[in-house]
Amino acid sequence: MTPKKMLLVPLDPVHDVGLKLIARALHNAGHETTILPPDLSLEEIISKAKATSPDYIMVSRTISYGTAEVLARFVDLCDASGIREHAKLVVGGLSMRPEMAQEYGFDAGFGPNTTPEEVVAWVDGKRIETASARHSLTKPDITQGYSYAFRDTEAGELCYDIAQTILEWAGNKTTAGIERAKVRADLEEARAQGDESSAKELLAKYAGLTSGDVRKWYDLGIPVPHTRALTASEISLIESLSLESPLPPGQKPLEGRTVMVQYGTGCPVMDAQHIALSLAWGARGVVHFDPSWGARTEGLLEGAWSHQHDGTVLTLENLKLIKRAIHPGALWQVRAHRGLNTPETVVLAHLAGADLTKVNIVYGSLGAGSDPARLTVDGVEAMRLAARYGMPFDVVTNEELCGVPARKAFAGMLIVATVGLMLGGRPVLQPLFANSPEAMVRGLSEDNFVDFNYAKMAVLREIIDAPIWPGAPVGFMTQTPDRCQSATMTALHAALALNLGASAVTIASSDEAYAGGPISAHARVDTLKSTAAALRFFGSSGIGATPRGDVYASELREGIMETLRRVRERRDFVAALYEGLLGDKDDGAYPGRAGKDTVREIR
Amino acid sequence: MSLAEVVIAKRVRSLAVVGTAKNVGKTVTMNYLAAELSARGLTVGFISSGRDGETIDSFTGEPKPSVVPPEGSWVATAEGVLVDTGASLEIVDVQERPGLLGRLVLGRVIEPSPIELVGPTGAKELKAVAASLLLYGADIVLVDGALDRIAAASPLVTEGLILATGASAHDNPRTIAQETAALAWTWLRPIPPDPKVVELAGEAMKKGRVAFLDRGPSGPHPTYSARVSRYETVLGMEEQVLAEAGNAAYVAIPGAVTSKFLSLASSWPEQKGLAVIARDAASVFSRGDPGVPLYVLHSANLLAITVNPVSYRGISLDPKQLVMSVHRAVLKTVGTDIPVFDVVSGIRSPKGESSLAMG
Repeated sequence: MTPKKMLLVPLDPVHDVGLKLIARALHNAGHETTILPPDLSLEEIISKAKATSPDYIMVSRTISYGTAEVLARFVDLCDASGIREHAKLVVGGLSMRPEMAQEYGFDAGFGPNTTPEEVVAWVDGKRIETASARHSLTKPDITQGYSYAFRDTEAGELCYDIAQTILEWAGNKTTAGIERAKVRADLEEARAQGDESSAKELLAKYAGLTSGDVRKWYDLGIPVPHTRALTASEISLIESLSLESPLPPGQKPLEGRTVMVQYGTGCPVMDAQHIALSLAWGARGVVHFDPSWGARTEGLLEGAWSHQHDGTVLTLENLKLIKRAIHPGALWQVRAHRGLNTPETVVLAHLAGADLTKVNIVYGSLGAGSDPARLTVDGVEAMRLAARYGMPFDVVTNEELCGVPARKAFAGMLIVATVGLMLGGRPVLQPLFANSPEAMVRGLSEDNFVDFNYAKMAVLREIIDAPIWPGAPVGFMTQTPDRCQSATMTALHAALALNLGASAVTIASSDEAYAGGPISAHARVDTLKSTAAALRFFGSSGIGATPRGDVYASELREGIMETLRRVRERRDFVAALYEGLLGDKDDGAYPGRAGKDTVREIR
Repeated sequence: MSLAEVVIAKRVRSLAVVGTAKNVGKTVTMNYLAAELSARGLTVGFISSGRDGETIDSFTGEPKPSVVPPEGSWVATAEGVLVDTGASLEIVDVQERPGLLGRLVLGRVIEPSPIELVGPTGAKELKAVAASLLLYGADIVLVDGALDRIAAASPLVTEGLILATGASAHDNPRTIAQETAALAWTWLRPIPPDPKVVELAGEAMKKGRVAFLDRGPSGPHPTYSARVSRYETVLGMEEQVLAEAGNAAYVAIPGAVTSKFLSLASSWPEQKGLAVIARDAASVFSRGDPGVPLYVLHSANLLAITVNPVSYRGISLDPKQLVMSVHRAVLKTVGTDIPVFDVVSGIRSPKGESSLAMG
């Protein structure tokens, strides 16, 4: 590289910091740089340029009244003075865009968020890293590096004891959910092999294991209410999505962080757009949300469906369509955690190529309406399948939102995670980062939202060496319909989680809780931008709790241990769920009824 | 004569449309000319000296008219804009030097549709690209100036120019007329009458130095000698240059000539009667008569003026009144009958009013 002569010209008397940074970078790259004082007239600048014969003249100017005319006149003066024949003209500044620079007659234009390195690269003849720059993603493994060893040996003993009783209890039991999962796996295998007669037989078998609206569809072809088949043109819309996009300005703090977003608008086409948008704005992965009726009805549909209400219908076809909108380097979670189709969902997630799933027996039983016995049997099978497919799963604790205190929810999470470990799985702990009813009632968040969340992270790390992924999503009960407020709360919760060492975090869009319908695209971008800004702000500085944080942590730890001891004493996990040891009616938790009395013993 | 007939009569092969401000109707004038010239059997070429035909003004966010080159016409534009146009081009040349929006593509329009024009921004390249389009088969190349930039209209780049003005420049037709007349004055600067002066000034400019032309002993045929200074420009050193003028009859300036220099020259106490020679009108950054004789080495060919009586700010002037006042002001200021058109309403200035200039 030949050193070039640079004349840097602040046409803006106030904002020449950027120019100084660029000058320093150019100087460090070996170029000869001269910065002119900020108060020269255009004529004086031309005169200096004539005298020094630079290779590049770099002008910085903020857009304001008359800027276009000043810049155009500057270029004309350069043309008239013959400077143009030897020097390249460059303009930069806030609100500058390449097409404006083109219009004014410059050779290049650099807008806000241009790094000095980008300018140096351009001067050195490398491609301008704007539209051509690609946002490269490599798939993170959020469970990597964890031993899953219990640091608290008493907690470990308790969890393994309880998990053992669960496995023994569930060992000789099955359900229609488990049978369907097997039939589905065989059916899809037969279809893949082109074995039509087996497929037909298996499909009939599958239909016989379904109920309600799903059964009506299989038997009579009547679509489930509020659904319709996707059209060919809608499907082609997904195919036309471009997955390659540059990371927008300001989103770099999200690079290398696993920030997940949820989707499930009901329509795979809209989901695809939202996924592409979210990944483009720096999300590292996406979580599939299915409709809530999917948890209460035996059986899943087939085909590509659009659903009028929130939640995108779980079918292999829908998942495969959506997969096309997911960058190969992004994480994809299909949640399977709470209903009558939990094992089959893990099968579909695996067949569609998902990376992660989600299972929690306790939340599904106490907060999401599934019968505890049924979900215990199905949950064990789902975790067994996840382990077989090498698919990590998170153990969510959203029963806290019903009012279950963290000590009970965490005990339940640790028990289920231990079952997963015994089955050879890789569970991820998912504490709720929110202003939970417990925090409100007990005044734990009266002063700040840091202390209690800090305590949750601290306790989990004291107990076990496992990945922690707060969610899901973070910030529940702290957001309002105000988009700025909502995005800020989301961002600060996410930044807190990641600063406290979380392996991943799930965020909502700024209108998620209040949209009353599909989530808007800008609301997604809001929270991703805010989260990037919050991460940029805190950097590696760490966010400290007040001394209360440690007090809450020790209380929480004691509460978890007490809950574990009581559950072990009961010697019957399902009974413990029914009896409220992991959340009772006073807490706001009710054992679910969907799938009641559907567990069969295997003879 | 219509505007197209004026252009044809003047036999120019390249033509710049230069605005006195943004949104004064440069693109509308271009589109009108393209349609009219094509209808008369001429093949038109299109270049923008910046960016043109974009649907939204990148600066004000206002909507802008599209450029629609007729079938068979030639265009030069950046490859980056081709994905967004419905126009089909037969591409004949791709210039490897990448601009802001990709390489420059030269092509012939197969299927007309609005297209964004993104062209070379420097005068030298503009001239080369215009020459290429003529070689490929264009009969006349229209160069759209960007903003109020003037480089494209230099007689060293294009053979003729049209000034576009209108309500976007000012609300008041009188002010528009006066400013346009002042601009026309600059574009109509003559070549020095004495060929010896032209020759000496030309030599000095080739050297890239400011030069003084001293008049020899008086006689029936004045003689001149050139005194080449060390200055490459007068910018920022106007007073030093003038201090060295001595008794010079002319000062020839190779680069930009600004209003500051001209006004200092007009009132310089030691030097009465110093005349200034600029390379061409695109080198003169001053509008209107500065009170000092101003010549150019290369005279421009101002063919016509177009006016746009409406602006996006909601101003709508009477087209006839605007055409008349601009025409009258130019005639009065410069003494030349430059035809004035509103191509939208079809109103044009009357012919044969040149006698007014005498009055």
